[in-house]
Amino acid sequence: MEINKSNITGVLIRKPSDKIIKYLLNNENINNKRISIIKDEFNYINFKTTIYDYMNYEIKNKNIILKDDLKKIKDSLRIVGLSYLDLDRNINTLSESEKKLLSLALSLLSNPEVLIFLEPFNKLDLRNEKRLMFLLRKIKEKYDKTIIFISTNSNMLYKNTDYLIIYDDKLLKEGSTKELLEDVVFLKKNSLSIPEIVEFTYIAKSKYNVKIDYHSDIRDIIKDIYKHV
Amino acid sequence: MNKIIEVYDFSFSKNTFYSISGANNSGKTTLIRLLQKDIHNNKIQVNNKNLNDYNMNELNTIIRGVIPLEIKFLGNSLIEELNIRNIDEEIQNYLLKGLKIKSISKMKYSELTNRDIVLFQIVIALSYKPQILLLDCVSNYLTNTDMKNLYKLLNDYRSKYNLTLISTTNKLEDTLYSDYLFIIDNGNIYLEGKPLDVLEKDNVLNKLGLSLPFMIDLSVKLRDYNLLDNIELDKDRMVDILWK
Repeated sequence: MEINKSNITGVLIRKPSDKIIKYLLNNENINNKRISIIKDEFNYINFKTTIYDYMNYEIKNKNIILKDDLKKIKDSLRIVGLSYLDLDRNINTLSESEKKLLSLALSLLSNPEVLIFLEPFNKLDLRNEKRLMFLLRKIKEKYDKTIIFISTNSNMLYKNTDYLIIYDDKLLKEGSTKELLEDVVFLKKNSLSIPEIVEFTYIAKSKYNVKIDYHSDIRDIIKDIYKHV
Repeated sequence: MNKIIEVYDFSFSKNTFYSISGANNSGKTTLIRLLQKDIHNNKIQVNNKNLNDYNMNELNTIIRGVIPLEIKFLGNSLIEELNIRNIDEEIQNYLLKGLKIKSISKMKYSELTNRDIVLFQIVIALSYKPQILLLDCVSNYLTNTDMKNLYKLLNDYRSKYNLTLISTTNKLEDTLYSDYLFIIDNGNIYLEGKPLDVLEKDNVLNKLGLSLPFMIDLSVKLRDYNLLDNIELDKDRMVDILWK
């Protein structure tokens, strides 16, 4: 397995660093593709504070050549479910989930093949996290995008990604998310965060040799505990 | 903006750690902004005195707030910043050691990540030894290890300097460290009480769009199956209870 369109790739890091972006940009599977990096924050350059101004600035700044700028802006907003927003709306007045979706709409303007998210669900509550994940899966399937999540949160990566890169100033390991994040000994040794559901299962298995399996959904582990207790 | 202050009626005791949690758009940041900046509002009182009756120097030592990435730095590095602000070396060292950021304290701001900046904001706020510290969803920028270091430091700091801490978060696991928890939604205090008592109300919290911390969620569900009597936060102990 490798970074590709068919899976969602996660990158587990110990702490935020720009080195991981450089590392990914050199990856042979994506380095010749159009890449967009979706961060949390907006740069309020030259007071471009309305949605339209900001998106228009993005088009000009990145020299994106479009037949109809306004149509593309509206299309990008529609894809992420923000078509209800007035283009004159000030970005500061948007909710966190709307800002997150606007970042995604901005990145879609350049029609990237690869979308790299830094902490994709940070600042979102459960409801909005589920909505965004649903949207990203839809975008991946419908528009054939490669999606990469960079995060320090192993719980989120365990639940939402299929392929994983573990990086801490250098590549430590890569492979199936499930296999890598269930290797508790390795994660502990490298001071990396362990998914809580995995850690609990690991303790039960190693301490009392309980025959429960690793699961990413809490309802499944409850069923397993009920069977084996 | 004023609607929130008209609706909410909070009362905070001294040297207590309060968490305020709610889903996106529940008014958490607005509340912190009001507490931090809207000093002309007569309804906010500290020590039975209106906030706008204090002068700016007094205010610096009464209330400090950290809204992530909203700061104008005066120096080029944190150390320079603290020196410009005449912060004594003892408290500088205490805070940098507590948050384990001595190694980055001399780095130029242009080389910093958002995480570093938020940690620096916390150091600057605490260095004034305020009576009240407001933190707005700082865990969104910090790692789990940072949060553990921060809570350890704040516990120690509170015992030394008497600090009332008011921290907003959309991650309910952060609230476990606090003494008292408010859940807010749509201009209302929806739930309040000791964190564990509030977090047991899983149905209400899920309806509000909040996800329970893993061990609380597991405990509540196991209790529904009569496999557990009480909420258990420690994984080792829960495994012992279930299989010993």
